[in-house]
Amino acid sequence: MAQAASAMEAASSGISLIGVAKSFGGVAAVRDCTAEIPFGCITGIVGPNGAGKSTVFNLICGFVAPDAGRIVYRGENIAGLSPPQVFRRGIARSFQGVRTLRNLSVLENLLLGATAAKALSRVWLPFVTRKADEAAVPKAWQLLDELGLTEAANRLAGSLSYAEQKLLAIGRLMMADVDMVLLDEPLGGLDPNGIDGFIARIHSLVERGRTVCVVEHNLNAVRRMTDRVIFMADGTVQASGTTGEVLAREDLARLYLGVTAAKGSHP
Amino acid sequence: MSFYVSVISYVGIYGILAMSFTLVHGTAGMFTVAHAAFFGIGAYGTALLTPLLGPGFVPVGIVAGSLLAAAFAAIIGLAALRERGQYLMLVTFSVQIIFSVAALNLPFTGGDNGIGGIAPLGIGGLTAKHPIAAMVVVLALVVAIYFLLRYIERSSLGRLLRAIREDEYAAEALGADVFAAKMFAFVASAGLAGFAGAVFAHHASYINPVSFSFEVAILIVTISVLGGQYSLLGAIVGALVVVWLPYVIDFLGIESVKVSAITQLIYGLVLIFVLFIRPSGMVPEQLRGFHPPAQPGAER
Ligand SMILES: Nc1ncnc2c1ncn2[C@@H]1O[C@H](COP(=O)(O)OP(=O)(O)OP(=O)(O)O)[C@@H](O)[C@H]1O
Ligand SMILES: [Mg+2]
Repeated sequence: MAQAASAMEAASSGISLIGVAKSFGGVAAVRDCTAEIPFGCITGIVGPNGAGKSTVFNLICGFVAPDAGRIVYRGENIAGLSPPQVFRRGIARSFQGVRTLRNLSVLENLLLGATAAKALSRVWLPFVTRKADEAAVPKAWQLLDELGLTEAANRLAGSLSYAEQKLLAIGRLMMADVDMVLLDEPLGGLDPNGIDGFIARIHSLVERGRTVCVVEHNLNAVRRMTDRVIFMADGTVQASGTTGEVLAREDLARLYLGVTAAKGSHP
Repeated sequence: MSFYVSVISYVGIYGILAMSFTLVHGTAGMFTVAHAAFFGIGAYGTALLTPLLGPGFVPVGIVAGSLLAAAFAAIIGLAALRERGQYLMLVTFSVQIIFSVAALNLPFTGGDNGIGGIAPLGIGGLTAKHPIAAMVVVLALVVAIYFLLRYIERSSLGRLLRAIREDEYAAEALGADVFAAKMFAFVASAGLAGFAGAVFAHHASYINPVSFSFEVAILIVTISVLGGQYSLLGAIVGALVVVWLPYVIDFLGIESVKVSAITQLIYGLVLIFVLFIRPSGMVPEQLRGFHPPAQPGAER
């Protein structure tokens, strides 16, 4: 399932949002949003604070149900499914905060990426459970090595630095058996030195056959990471296309800076 | 002699009860105050059912009592576990109160007087009438349940429950059905509390509502927090320390009316002391350590 999507699929599909809308009380967080996140390339979602970027991830992954519109993935409307249902169809996401499982060990945080979805249904079969649980362990060690966290394997994840916790959040998704990975501000709060390493990690997700979509404020990094960009403001898509094309547009740059300056930062 | 033997049996029974609380609270992070009620449902369930089944069917009564407690928990869980936050605590608090009122007033529970003459632990023609035999049965059950729960805790499900305790959104994003996992922990834990209650009923041969009151709900929390709320072994160690307490106070020659009040006071002080000085209790959560795969004998 996590193998690279076939060339046909890569060319033809991915996630399609069609006329999706969501309001919270009087606030239209997302409205009439139509966009494509195609397989086989890295898509960036950029836009000022409050543009609705995180809400789009919440809508896709089932954390929030849309008021209107369809979200099509592999020919199926996944709008309104629950988060585990969306995960089982092959889409996983990270959060804007790190959401580290602080009192679990670093290694256990990774193991959960591979086992959380099936842990309950398997527990009735102790032998199957043991085999499946053990199978994830070598994979997790290998990943720890790649992330440079081997020494910390058995430490509480809450004791890691913020940057390490951000790495761990991506590591959990690398363990997950999914095709599509949505990252919400993976570089947020990192110092410039850490960012290069991070972009390498995101590329290693792609090497593992995942399609990556990333919400990010660091436009420089977006330029380096992504192939395509969706530009959002005021809850809707203002433009989309290749990264170079979209990020070169001055009207969008002004919209971005203007709204950001006016609204200030937003959690 | 037989006094010590029966206290050891009670340590075992409250140990099982406290381990059931560890599963739902220490592991899965759900604070419930209805465990004395589930303990009672198991006890009344088997006390009412076994006479109908006839002698020799005590294990059937115990299983039925456990399932009854689990069934009540399933109904409560369906109503309360979809909501996040403190909702469960409020609902289980009400359940505990309703249970106490019901145990006192329903036509078949014997009110204040409770139910007596409950068959001793046993199976078929074999009965553990002798206190030592009863103690051996109880301790065997403690060991069996300890290993059952340890299997769950160490499996990926145990890890998932701890993940839910830490951050349920993170667990959900990794594909976990958080509601189902919480239902499992809540219902299994209540079933186990019911099991402890059913064993208690057959061991004591007499039950009344006092054994399942709100004070007992507090007792469970005290045992768990003092022994180590995140540890199964801690639950047993906690029971070992706490269950002796009223007997010790009694032994000191204090008027029996005051024993309960003094015991409650000491529980309260112990809770505050432990939570401030050492929140992990006497036995802290034991993280499973992993060895790198290169070394032989991959894990400890
Ligand atoms: N659960 C919620 N309840 C109420 N309002 C919400 C909720 N989630 C988002 N909003 C509102 O919806 C709008 C869009 O928020 P969203 O978090 O999607 O923006 P964003 O593009 O991710 O912004 P940022 O770059 O600051 O993360 C904001 O006005 C926000 O306050
Ligand atoms: Mg956001």
